[in-house]
Amino acid sequence: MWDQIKDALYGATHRVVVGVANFLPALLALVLAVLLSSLVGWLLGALVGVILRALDCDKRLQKWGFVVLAEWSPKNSPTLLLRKTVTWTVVVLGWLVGLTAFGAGVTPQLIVNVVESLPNLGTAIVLVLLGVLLARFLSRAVLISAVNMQIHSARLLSLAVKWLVLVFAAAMALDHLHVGGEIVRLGFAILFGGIVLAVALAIGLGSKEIVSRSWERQAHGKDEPPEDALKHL
Amino acid sequence: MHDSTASQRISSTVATTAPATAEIVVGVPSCNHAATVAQVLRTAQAGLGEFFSGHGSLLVSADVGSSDGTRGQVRTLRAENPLLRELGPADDAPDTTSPGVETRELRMILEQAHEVHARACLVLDASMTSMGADWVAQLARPILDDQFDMVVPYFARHKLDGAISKGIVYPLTRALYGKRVRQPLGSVFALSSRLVERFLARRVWDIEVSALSADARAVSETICADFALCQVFLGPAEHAASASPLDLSSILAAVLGSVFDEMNHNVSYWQKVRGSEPVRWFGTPVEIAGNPPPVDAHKMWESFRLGCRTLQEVWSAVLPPATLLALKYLARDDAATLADDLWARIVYDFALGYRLHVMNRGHLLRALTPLYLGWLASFVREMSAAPSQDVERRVQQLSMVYEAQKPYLISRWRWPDRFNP
Repeated sequence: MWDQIKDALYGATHRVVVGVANFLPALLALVLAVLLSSLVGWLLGALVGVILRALDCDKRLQKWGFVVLAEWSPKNSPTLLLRKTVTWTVVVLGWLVGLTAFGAGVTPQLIVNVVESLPNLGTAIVLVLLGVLLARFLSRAVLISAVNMQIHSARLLSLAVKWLVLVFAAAMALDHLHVGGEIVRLGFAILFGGIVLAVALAIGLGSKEIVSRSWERQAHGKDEPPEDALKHL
Repeated sequence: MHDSTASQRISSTVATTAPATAEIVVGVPSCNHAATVAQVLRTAQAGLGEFFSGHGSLLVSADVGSSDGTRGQVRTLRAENPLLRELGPADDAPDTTSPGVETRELRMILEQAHEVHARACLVLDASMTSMGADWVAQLARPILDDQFDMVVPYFARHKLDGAISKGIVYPLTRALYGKRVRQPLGSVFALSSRLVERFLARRVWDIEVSALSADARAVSETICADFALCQVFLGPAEHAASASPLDLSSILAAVLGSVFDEMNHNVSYWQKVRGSEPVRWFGTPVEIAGNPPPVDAHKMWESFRLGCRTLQEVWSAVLPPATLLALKYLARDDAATLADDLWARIVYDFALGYRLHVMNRGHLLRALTPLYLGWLASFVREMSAAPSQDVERRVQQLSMVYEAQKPYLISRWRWPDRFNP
């Protein structure tokens, strides 16, 4: 009886010790992977920070129209945002490597999925960035031209152009990532059409007097009222 | 920049052989001026015949890309005038390669003048309908008789006309380069052989320069190279209406783009200049007849206020906070005045923004339009009832403010981040 208890105790202890012995290297590997990735992530982040600061990235991005990026960044600094992104990407990769040491079947598949989706993700990010740049450029061009043409709804026009381009870029990016499928296309069509209709109504209602005066002049065969005859040059 | 191959190509397109030497060359950049080119060439021919019959002279029409029958007009004139030479591509196909049409035509005229060893090279405006035969003599005499290197015109104008020149180009040129050249955008000028040689060597017009500001570029180059410059009083400047007239913001962008480019180019010169000195005058001032056209200052001020309401975000990339605040206060009032010192600082800030590329340069220059209209509305309100002499005094007063504000420009130019009031 005692021998049986002893065997059971030894067996249990042995299994626990073997389990711990099997678990410990993987745990140590995880800790090591996390520590190493944190160190590498911090170093890479610091390097990226130094390079971006040397390139005066914050000011350049603001100049190129990425104001939204600054608004979303910690301390309004896109450099800090990029630095933290690099650091945390490496740390997360370290965690994934550490978890793989446990031999979990899901983790390698997760890594494969992440790696496979990286090119699409990169393209989507580039699409969004280009969209932001184009939206900024076009909205400013429309704003300045509309003000110089003395159109009072200049800001509305500029905003409409900005959001049309942004919505278009976002829909393209989501379509590229195969996120949402038909819903995205449908949503894009509704949003795009809605913005165009809203702008057309706003401008139409806002300038109905100008249009009616113009029609009246045409109907009565009158000429346009003379502009200032001042010669600027 | 224009490469040597392109330069050779232009030289090889001279359609007819010029005489070996000529004392005076009168050149007319003629591209797409079918309606007026014959009149200008005939007047120039009459001027050469009347005032320089004993001198060797050559009349040149430079045309690289007309599509409106200008070349046909010039060929008809050539049949009756052996002195007229036509420069341009051998075939009639419009040549639209860079640099711009106007600059290539100017270069062709200069090359022709250099080739015939001309002592004076006159450049006339093919769209000018008010030109007199005596202009040829008035432009050439200071070079031939008084050894000046460049002659720029002063046209008689209605007191409020030429506001871009009055409010920006003249005061800015004067404050930067220290010479009081009253109309740097005259579109007509004369050059000595020394200056022609220098302009060709330095490829002054090998870069794309708007036709509106090619002469302003010539003026700044002349001053910076320390050549002698003078002004002549000519009559009124009437231009034929353009088939595709530019809107105000495009005119501002074209003129100021070139002026600000010159600022960047000549920074080492103008940072040393303090104050200004008069430039010698020739001829007699001419008063323009008739009443000036009516001007609606209220409409201009409304454009300025609209700009203040909607363009703050754009302006904030260029203008310092104190200026933005002052503009905000001004826009609240229906009949406020944009002060001279504020206006001078705004122009300087835009020049700096242009240099630093704070945004697309076309956007930047066009964003100045409402501010210019604000200044113009103030100027018109103040001067609409004043006599012409008072307007001229007011322009000189504004120019002195530009000079007084020059240290502000220099500080911001040197330390754009540190000096941002």
